[in-house]
Amino acid sequence: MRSSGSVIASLRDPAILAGLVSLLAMIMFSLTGLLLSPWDPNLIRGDPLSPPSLAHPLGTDDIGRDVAAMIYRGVLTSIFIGVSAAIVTTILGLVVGIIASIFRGFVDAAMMRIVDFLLATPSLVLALILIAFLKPSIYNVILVLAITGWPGVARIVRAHSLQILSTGYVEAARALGASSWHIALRHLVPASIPVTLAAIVTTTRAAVLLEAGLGFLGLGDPSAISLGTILFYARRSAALASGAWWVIVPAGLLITIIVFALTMISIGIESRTLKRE
Amino acid sequence: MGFTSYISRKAAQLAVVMFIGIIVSFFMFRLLPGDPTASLLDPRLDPEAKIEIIRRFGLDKPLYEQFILYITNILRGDFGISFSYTGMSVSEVIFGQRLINTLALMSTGIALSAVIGTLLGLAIGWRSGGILDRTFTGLLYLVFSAPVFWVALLIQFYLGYQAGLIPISGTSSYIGVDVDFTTYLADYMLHMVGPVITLAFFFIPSYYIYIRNVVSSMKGEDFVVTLRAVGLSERIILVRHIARHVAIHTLTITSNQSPLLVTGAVFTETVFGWNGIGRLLYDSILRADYPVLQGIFILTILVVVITNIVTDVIYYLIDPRIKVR
Repeated sequence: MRSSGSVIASLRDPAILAGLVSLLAMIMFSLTGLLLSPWDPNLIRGDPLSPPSLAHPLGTDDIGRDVAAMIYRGVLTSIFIGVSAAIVTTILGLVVGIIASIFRGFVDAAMMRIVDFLLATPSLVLALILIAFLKPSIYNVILVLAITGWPGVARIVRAHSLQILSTGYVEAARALGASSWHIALRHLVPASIPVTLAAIVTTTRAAVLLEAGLGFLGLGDPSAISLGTILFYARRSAALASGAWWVIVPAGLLITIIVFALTMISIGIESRTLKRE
Repeated sequence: MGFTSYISRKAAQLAVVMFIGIIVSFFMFRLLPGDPTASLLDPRLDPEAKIEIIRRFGLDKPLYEQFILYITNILRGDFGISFSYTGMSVSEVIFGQRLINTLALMSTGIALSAVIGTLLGLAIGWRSGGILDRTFTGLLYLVFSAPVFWVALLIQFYLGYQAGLIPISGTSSYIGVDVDFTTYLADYMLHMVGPVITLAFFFIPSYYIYIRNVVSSMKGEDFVVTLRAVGLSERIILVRHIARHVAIHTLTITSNQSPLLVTGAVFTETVFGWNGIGRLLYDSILRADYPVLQGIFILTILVVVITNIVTDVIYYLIDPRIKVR
């Protein structure tokens, strides 16, 4: 198993390790916070906009919810949506990329023109217009993130699997009478795993940012507290005018740390692939 | 293959992209919400105006006839009538003050970031590997990871609300008031400070990271070693030779960003109440102003296609040997 070997080896890369450790630390921190905190993030349990205190370590928001509790929940929501969107995106991109590379010709050309189009359109504009039509729910947010994200993955996978298709062992398999299905499932999919892993990290990064952005604009799931929606409430309320830094600084800082951790992992993966080549 | 045939091939490819965009927008705005007329017909209209619009866009006709009418309308520059700005056509809503505001803000932000980001990338890439490089590059990766709307909020909060250095929101303090041009311009530029700083935080890291990597990998190349051996000073090598190579990369990044010139920075414009296309996009979503959304969508694709062609021509003018695919 070459791929699992390289996964373990990549843990020795300081950038990848640091990124993974900080992500895990954030998740553990939020889980324990959520379990230990006496406050329910959805309930009003204090005076509005009270500054950080022993009872409310990060103060309360404009309607008196505990900001720390909202943040524990928000970190988990953001990471959950980011990772699920990235998995859906990557699978979609993998399927399209492999199909395009196997069939070539018209199918390939048609798919790649759609990819060109989606890649050329600023993803935020596309995401915003799509969300305008859909009911804001976690699943629709994931759907929109996947629609804007898959073309990038598809293009990478297609290029990679075209390379593999021209190698000797695939030609040998074909000569032995292997079907396109067999080649796709037994050769192309496994060979695409390293490229796919890198794509999952970069799409998670993009998805976390875009999800936070949709939440910030008030276009996310209104029933789920995410780091973006915390900032949406902060902006909509009198928080900024009344100097309540605690509702804007921590939530944004945590988005930054999550995205930074993912950036480090993807830099690590990138430099490893460069070294290998 | 000559330049003309290269450009015409590229133009044909982009025409296909444009066409796909127009088709996508046709179906997106007609089929997604169920009733084909719902997204294009303001429910608040009086019956006579409704009939007029149905006739003009052929909403009662079969889909293929609607499509033909839709294409002819687009070619004539008719994108329909806005729902929320009563009596205004989509073109009137988009083209005008909003587009000017967005162009002014985005070109300032991008130009400033291109210069600062490139210079920083040159200076630090040339000394890459040291402690300065590591600290600074790490810091810029951190900035690169910060969501732009949060940066905008922080700037608005600390510089606007707390320090009172910049106006909190808006494009001008003199709306409806007659003032002389210099006063107006000074006020306009003061309103632009917050958004431009935000954009700088957003754009500088992408320039810096890219240019730093280019310069750092160029340091060891043969031609640099030769120039050094010839006895040229580091400074001259950097300014005369490296900087020239870097210019084309700055151009590439700028051209990738340039669709934002028109679509604007949705977050920055929204936070600072900058009356541009980005905020119009957001407002139109909240108001379900589908005709305006469709107009912005088509405009976006058009700008993407045009910048693509213009970039290719500029590339060719800079370096005629450029790879002709």
